[in-house]
Amino acid sequence: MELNANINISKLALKALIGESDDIIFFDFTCGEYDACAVYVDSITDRDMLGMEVISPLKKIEGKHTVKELSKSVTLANVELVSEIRTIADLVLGGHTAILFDGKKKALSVDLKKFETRSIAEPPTGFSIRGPRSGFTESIKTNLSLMRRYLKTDDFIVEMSEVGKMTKTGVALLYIKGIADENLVKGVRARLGKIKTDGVPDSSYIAKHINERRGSLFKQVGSTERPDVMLERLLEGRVGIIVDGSPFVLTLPYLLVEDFQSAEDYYISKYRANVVRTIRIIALLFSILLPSLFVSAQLFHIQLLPQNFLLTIINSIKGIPLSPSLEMFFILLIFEILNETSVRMPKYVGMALGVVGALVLGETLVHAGIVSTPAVLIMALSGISIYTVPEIVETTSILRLIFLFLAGSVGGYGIILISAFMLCYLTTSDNYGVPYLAPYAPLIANDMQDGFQMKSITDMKRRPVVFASRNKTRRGNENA
Amino acid sequence: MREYKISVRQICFSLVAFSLAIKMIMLTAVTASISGRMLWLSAIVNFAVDGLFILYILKISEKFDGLDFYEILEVNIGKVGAKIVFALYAIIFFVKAYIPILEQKTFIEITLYETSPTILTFMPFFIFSAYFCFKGMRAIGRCADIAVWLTVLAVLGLIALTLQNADFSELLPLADIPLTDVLSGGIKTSLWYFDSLYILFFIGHFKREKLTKTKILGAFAIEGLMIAVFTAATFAEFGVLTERQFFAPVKVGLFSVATLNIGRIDYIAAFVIATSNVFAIAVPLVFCTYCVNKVIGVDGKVLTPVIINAIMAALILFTEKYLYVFFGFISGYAVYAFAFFAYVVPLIMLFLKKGSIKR
Repeated sequence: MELNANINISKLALKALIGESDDIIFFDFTCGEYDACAVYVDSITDRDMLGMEVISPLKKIEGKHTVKELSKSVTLANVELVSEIRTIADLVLGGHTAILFDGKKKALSVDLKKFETRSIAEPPTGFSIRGPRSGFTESIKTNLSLMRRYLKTDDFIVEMSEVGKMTKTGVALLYIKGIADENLVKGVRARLGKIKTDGVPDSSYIAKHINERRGSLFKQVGSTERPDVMLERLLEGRVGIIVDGSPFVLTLPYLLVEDFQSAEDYYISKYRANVVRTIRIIALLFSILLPSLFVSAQLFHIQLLPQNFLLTIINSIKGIPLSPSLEMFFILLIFEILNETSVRMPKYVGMALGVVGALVLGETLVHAGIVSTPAVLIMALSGISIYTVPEIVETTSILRLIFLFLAGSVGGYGIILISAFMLCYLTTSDNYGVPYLAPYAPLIANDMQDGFQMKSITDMKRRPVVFASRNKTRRGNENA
Repeated sequence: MREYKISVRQICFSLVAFSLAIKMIMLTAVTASISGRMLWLSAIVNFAVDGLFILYILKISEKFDGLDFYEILEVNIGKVGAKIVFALYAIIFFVKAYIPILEQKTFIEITLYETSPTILTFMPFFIFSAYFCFKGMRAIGRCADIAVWLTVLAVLGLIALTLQNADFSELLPLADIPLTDVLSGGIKTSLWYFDSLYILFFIGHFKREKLTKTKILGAFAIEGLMIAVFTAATFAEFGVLTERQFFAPVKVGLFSVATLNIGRIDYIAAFVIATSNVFAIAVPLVFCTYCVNKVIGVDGKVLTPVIINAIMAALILFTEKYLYVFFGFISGYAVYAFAFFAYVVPLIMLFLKKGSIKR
C-alpha cells in the first residue's frame, strides 16, 4: 500500500500495522509549511540524534520543498526515500525513524538505531596469555568493525542478509575474494538463503540450519569469539558468518583438527605449541577412553593391568557393592550433576559447590565404601581432561558415555568396534566438500603443517590445499 | 567424468594396513605346520605370485583407459555376461571373508574374553561391517590413511618383543625342508593372499599418477617383508612349537622382559592389530557388496550390505564349530577357484578389446 498525501490517513495505516505496541512513537511536529510526524521505536532509537540531526534541522526549514530537498537538511548519511507503508513499517521495526509529511506521498527513513551493547572485552572462551585481547560482542556492527580493522583490502567481502520471519536478524557472510573457494561461498550463501525460521536468537541456530548432517553427533560448523582467529580462518580460505546478537562467529568448512588449535599456538614458540597440542590430544583420549578402558580391564581383560596396579585395585574394591561399570556410571552421574549444578548456580555458590562436591562428596563416597578410590581418580582425570578441548565437550561427554556403556557390556572389543565405527564415519564425512578428518584422512602433506602438530608460521608458506583456494601462496610470494 | 573413489596412496596404505593385519593372527602357525622353518619362504612365494599379478593387472588396465572392471566386462561380454561374472566374484569375496572373520572371532574370544557369549562380544562387528560396506571403496581408502600407522606400529612392536627371545639359528639349516613342503605351505595358506583381487576391482576407480605401479608394488613388498620377518621371528622364538601358536600377536611377547616387568604391553599391540583387523576382515565384504550392487543394478543402497552381513553373521554363528572343516575345504579346494578368479580371469583380459562406455 502506498503512502497517502493525507498524513492522517498514512498514520492510521501505519498504526494499524505497528501501532499496537506502546514503545512505537508517533511524534508530530511542523516542518516549514508541512505537518510532519516522526515514527520510531523508542527502545531502539537514538533520541539525541533524532532531535539534533533530524527534527531540529527540519523544523528550521521554511517554505515549500520536495521530500528530496527536505532530506538534504538531515545531517546524517543513512537517509532514504520510501513510499510503501509496509516498507516503512519494516524499517521502523528495524530501528529506522520514518518522517511523514502532510501532502507528500514519500517519507524519509533515517537509520537511527541504537542498541545497548557491551563494550569489547576479552572473550571468556579461547582465552590466551599472548595475543589480542579483543573479542566479538553481540553487535554485528562492532564485529564487522573488528574484522575491518584487520582486513584493509577490497577483496574482503561482506554480504548482508536477514534471517528470521519475526526477528529479521542481520546475518553477514564474510570471505576474502580470491582466497575462499567460489563454490564454497555459493554453497553457504544458498544454505543461508534457504533458512526458514521465525527467529534467530543466536548464531548456533544458524549453525544448526546450515549443518550438512543434521543428525550428527559431531560438530560441523566452527565458531570463535576471537577476531584474530576469524582472520586466520578467512586467510586460510574459510568463510565466516556473523549473526547479529551473538558473539560467536561461525566459520565454514569445519575440520575436526581446528578445535585442537588455540589462538595462542601461533603467538608462542612452535615447540611449546606442539607440546600443548599433544597434551590436548592425550587429554581428549583420556577423557573418552580412560573410564571405559578401566571398566573393561576390570570386567574382561584383567591381564592388561600391571600386577602392582591390579593389587591396588583389588584392595580398593573389596566390599564395593556396585559392579565396575555401575560404579563408573554412578561416579559419572555425580560428576555430571555437579557440573550442571555449578554451571547453573550463582558464580560464587557454584565454586563452593564444586569444592564440596569434589572433595567432600568424593571422599565420603569412598569412605562409605560405595565407590573405590581408583574409580574416583579415573573419573576425575577424565572429567578434567575433557575441558582441554572445550569446543567439543558436548560431543566428547556423550562419546564417553557410549564408550563406557560398550565397555561395560561388550568389553574391549566393544571399544574397538565403536572406535572403528567412528573412524569410518568421520573419515567418510565431508563438510561442504571438505573431508572432516583432513589433513589426516585423506592425508594431505601440505596441510599437516598446521594439524595436530604445527610448523613455525614462517614455514607455512602455502594455504591449506583442502579449501581449494585459487590463491595458494601465503608467504614469500608477491601475489600472496 | 568419473569421481575417483580412492587414490594410489590409499591403495598402498590399504595393502599395508589391512592386507598385513589380516595375515597376523593364524597364518604364522598354519604355515609353520606345513613348511616348518621355511615358513617365511612360503610367505614370500605367495607374495611373489600375488605381486606379479598385481603388476600385470596394473599394466593391462592401462589398455582400458579408465574403465573399471565391470565396464571392461560389459564392453566385451555384454551386460548380462558382466553381471554373471560379478555374481561369481560376489561369491568369491564372500567365501574369502569367511575364514578371516571366523579367525578374528576365535582370536577375540580366546585371547580377550573367557566366558562372554559370542552373540554379545563378536556379533556387533557385523553392524560395523554393514556400515563399512555401505560406505564402500572410499571408506577403505580413507580408513587406510589412519589405520596404516596403527598396523605398522603394532607389527613393529610385536617384532621387537619377539627379538628378545628369538634364536635365529632355529631357521637353519635352510636346505633340509623339501621345496614341495614350501610350495604346499604356500598353496594351503593362499586363502590369506590373493590381494591382486582387490587391485582388479580398484582399477578405474583411482587416478593414475607417476610411478603408480612402483608405488603399489613397493607397498606390497613392504607388506611381504613385514610378514616374512614376523613369521621368521616367531619361528625363531618358538621353534617347532610355532605351529601351536595360533594367536601369534598375544604369544610372541609373552616371555619378554618388558612384559614381565610392566604388564602385558603386548596386549596393546594385539588390541591395535584387532582394530586394524576390524577393517581388514570387512574389506572382502565391501567388494562382495559392490559386486552384488552391480548385479542387481543399484548403487549406495543400505539393504545390500545389511543382507550380506546378516547372512555372514548367521553363517559364523552356526558354523563356528567347523572352523577346521571349512578351513580344510577352502584351503584344499576353494583356493583353486580363488586362483582362477584372481589370476586366470585377469589373464583373459589380455584378449579383451578396449571399447568405451557412456556414463
